[in-house]
This record gives sequence, C-alpha cells and structure tokens, in this order.
Amino acid sequence: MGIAVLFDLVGSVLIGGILLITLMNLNDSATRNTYSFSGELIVQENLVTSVEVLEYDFRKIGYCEDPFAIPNTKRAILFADSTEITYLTDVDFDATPDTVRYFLGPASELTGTPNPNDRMLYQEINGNVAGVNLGITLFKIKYFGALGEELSLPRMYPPTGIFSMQIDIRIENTSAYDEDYRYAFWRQIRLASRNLENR
Amino acid sequence: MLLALGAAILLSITILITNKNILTTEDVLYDSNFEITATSIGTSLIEDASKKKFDEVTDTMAIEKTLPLTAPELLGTEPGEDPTNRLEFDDFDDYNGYTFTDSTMPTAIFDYKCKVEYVDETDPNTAISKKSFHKKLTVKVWSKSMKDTVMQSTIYSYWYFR
Repeated sequence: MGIAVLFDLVGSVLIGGILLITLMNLNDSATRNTYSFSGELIVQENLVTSVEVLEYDFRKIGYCEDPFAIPNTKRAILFADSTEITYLTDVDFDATPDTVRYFLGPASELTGTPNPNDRMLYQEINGNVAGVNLGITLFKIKYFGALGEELSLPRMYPPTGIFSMQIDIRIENTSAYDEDYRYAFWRQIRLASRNLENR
Repeated sequence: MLLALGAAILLSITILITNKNILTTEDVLYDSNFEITATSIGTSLIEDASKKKFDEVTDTMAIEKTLPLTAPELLGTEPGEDPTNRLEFDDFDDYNGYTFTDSTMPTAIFDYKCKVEYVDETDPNTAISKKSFHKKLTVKVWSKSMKDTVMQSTIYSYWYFR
C-alpha cells in the first residue's frame, strides 16, 4: 500500500468523522429548535386564549340581564386578592346573578409537568370548579381605586372600592428541551369593567 | 479525499441554509412575542382613556352643542396638568401627545405615543379641524426589539342621558 493511498484513507476517515459529528450536532440543533419553536407557538396561543377568556369575563363583572338583580354594582366584587377574585355576573344570560371565582392553584399541584413553576388556573361558577393548565406561571391582579390609587389586599367586604385592575399574566411551556422554557407576557392595565358605575 | 472534501463543502452549505432558516423563524417568533405585549400596552391605554370623561367641559355639566368643547388645536392637557403624568389626566383628549417609555415589561422596553383628534361620524378615519361629539384616540407602540409598530385606535363619543 502506497503512502498516498494511506494518506487518502486517513484523510477520508478524518473528514468523515468531522462530517458525522457535524451531522449529529445539526440533528441535535434541529430537535432543539423544533421543540423551541413549537413551544413558543403553543405559549403564544395559550396566552391569547387565556387573555380572551379573562377579558371577556372580567368586563362583565356586575352585569346581569335583569339590571335589578344586581341593584348595587359597586358591590359586585365580593372578594379580591392578588391571585384570586370573586364577583357577581350573569354568565348564562338567564337574568340570575352567578358567583364567579378565578384563582390560581399552587405550583406543587402540577408535579406531572417538567416545568416547576406552572400552575392551574381555576374558574369556579356557582361552586362548580373547572381548572386548566395553560402553563401559567404568573397571574397577578392589582386593584385601583377611583383616584388611581393602588388598593391594599385582600379586599374582603363589598363595596371593595375597586375601580380598575391591572392583570399580569406570564405563560411558559409546561415542558421544554433542556429546561429552556419559552414565555410570553401580557399586562392589561386598568381593565375597567363597564358595569361598576365607573362613569 | 477530494470526494470527502466535496461532501464537506456541500454539507456546510446545507448547514448554513438550515441555520439561516432557524434564525429567521426565531426572529419571527420573538417579534410576534413582542407584538403581543405591545398589543396589551395599546389596549391598556385605550381602556385607561375610555374611562375618562369626554371633555374638560363635560365634567360638571351636560352639553347639547359642540361649541363649549375644547378646540381641536387645544386638545391635550389643560394648564396645571402634567402632560407626562397619566395619573393627572382627567379627560379623554389629555392623551393627545402623551409619550412614555415603559421599561417594566419583562420582554422588552416599549415606547408609546398617543394622538387624539376630532372625527366625523360619517368618516371616522379622517381627522377634522372642527369640534364634534366624536374623538379618536390612536396609540402607537414600538420597541427597538420590534420590526414594526403596533397601532391601535378607538373612537369615543359623547353621550348623556337624563
């Protein structure tokens, strides 16, 4: 075997090895990006879904088909805290006030998902609780009075004096490649319910 | 060995193209993420403005004609109100010319600017230079991290019932 053939052989093996390592890296990178991109898309979709539901529901605080069924809308919010709110509204438009409660579950509740920070968001309507895991890691509400002042929490006894709210929501992937969780953030500042005698 | 070198070049080109595609996708995803937050800022500003009274003069009295309303060229904060402090705004048109830089968002730093003008009910997309019972607020939100500017607008009409 000539030296040139040997040189060719060694060189080919070397370059082949480099190609193999490059391909493996490319494969790893492609997998990571597939996870990451689809995760980001899911996060953004989940955020939009959560916000749509919350905004629709919160705007109807104090609303009833029969306006005399909730005679004093200033008393429509029954309880308010940073991660929880209970209020009166007419969910099914049957002219009967319903009690709706939104609250965040503990992080320890979702041990089945790799993300240690995701929590369940619960909606309770007249005692019937329904929870959903959309990867919410932050659900925080601040409340403001008529003069824009931030109110101390919790507000337990109606009328709570709440004029407007600021809702912060952060959503992350429930699972991610190498624990690289993507997130999306929404801050709805001062969502004023139209039914709280704001004008 | 030449064949192996050729394969390496071919693979390098493929990797470069793949890499470019990945970065483009990443860019689009980040941009849409920022735009979601920018949308939340825009809707928040509109919410905030919509709960204020229509005009300075409608605070204490009801009007039936447009004459007492603020003149189009004077839309904005009144003397004594700080144009940089939104907490001091007491009517819808105080938002005219309001600009702010919001660095409290976890995603990026956002700038926004508001513009309020009178519009006619028959053509709400065109500003008019006379008083009317309809004011249009346009909010522009942008960021150095974003490619484009998010623009949202709302029309606030004066109403009064006895």
